[in-house]
Amino acid sequence: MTLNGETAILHSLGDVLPANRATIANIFKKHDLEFVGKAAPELRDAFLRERKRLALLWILQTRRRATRLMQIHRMAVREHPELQVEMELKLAASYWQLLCLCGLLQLVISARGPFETQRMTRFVTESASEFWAASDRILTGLKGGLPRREWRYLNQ
Amino acid sequence: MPSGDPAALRKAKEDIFQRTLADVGDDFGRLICLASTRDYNTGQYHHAGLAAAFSDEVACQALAECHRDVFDSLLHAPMEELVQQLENYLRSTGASPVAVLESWSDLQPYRVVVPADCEKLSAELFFSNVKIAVAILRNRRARNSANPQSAWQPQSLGR
Repeated sequence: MTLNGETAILHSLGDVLPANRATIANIFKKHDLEFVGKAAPELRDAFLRERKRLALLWILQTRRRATRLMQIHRMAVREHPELQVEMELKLAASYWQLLCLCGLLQLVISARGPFETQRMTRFVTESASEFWAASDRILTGLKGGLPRREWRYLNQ
Repeated sequence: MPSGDPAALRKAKEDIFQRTLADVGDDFGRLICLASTRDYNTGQYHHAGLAAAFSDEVACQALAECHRDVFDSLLHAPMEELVQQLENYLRSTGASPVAVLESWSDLQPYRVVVPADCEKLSAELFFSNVKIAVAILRNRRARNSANPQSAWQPQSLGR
C-alpha cells in the first residue's frame, strides 16, 4: 500500500517528543557516581562508560527527533495559506541552533565524560524544549493543517 | 485502553497496593510482581481477583498504571536505594544469591519488566542502573566470600 504524504508521516511518528527531563537529569546525576565510587571503586569506570553511552544516546535521540519533527512541520506548513515566514525562520534558526549545540555537547561528553557538562546539558535541554514549543505554537495555530493533537495521541 | 470509570480505576489501584502488593516490601519487588501479571504475548494485564471485583478492562488498566508508577519511582531512585532494593529482592526469592546474581548478569531477565509504553531512553537508563546494581552486589559478594562472617549481612553502602 502506498501512503500519501501526511498519512505516511503520521505512520512514522513513533517517537517524536523530547526525552523525559527527569530521565535526562538522572543520567547526569553526580550523586550516583559518588555512591558507586565508594561502594565499588572497581566499577567506577564501568559506571562512567554506561553513563557516557546513555548521554550520547540522548543526544543522538534528540537530534533524530528534532529532525523528524522538522520534516513533519515542513510537510504541514509548506503549502498552508496561513504560513508565517517570520515564525518559520525563527523555528529554522532554533532547529539549527539545537543541532549545533547537540554536536558540541557530543564532543564535550566524548572528551570529558557526562559529569562535567551539567550547565551545557541544561542549556541543550532548554533549547530542545524551546524548539518543540515553537513548533507546537505554529502547528496548533494552523487551521486544517496536520492536527497536532493526533500525533500527540500517537505518542501516548 | 482508557477506562470509562475513573472512580473504579482509582479503587482498583488502591486495591492493588493494599492487597496484591501488601506483602511486597519495596518498589523492586512490586515491579517484578506487577510485570508478572502481564501476558507477554498480548501485553494485557490479568488478575483474576481484581477482574472479579471490578472488570477485566479496569483491572488491566489499573495494573498497567500501577506498573508505570512503580517503574517511574524506581527509575528515579538513587543508585544506592536501587542496590538495597535489589538485595532485598534477592533475599526474598529464597534462591541462592550467587545463582540469582549470575543469572541476572547473564540472562538480564529485568529487561522484560519495563512497561510497554516506556520511552527508550528511560528503559535504557533502567537496564543500565540494574546492570550496575547487579555488578555491585556481585562485587560485594566476592569481597565477602573472602570474609565469610560478613557475607550477606546488611552493610553500609559507603555512607
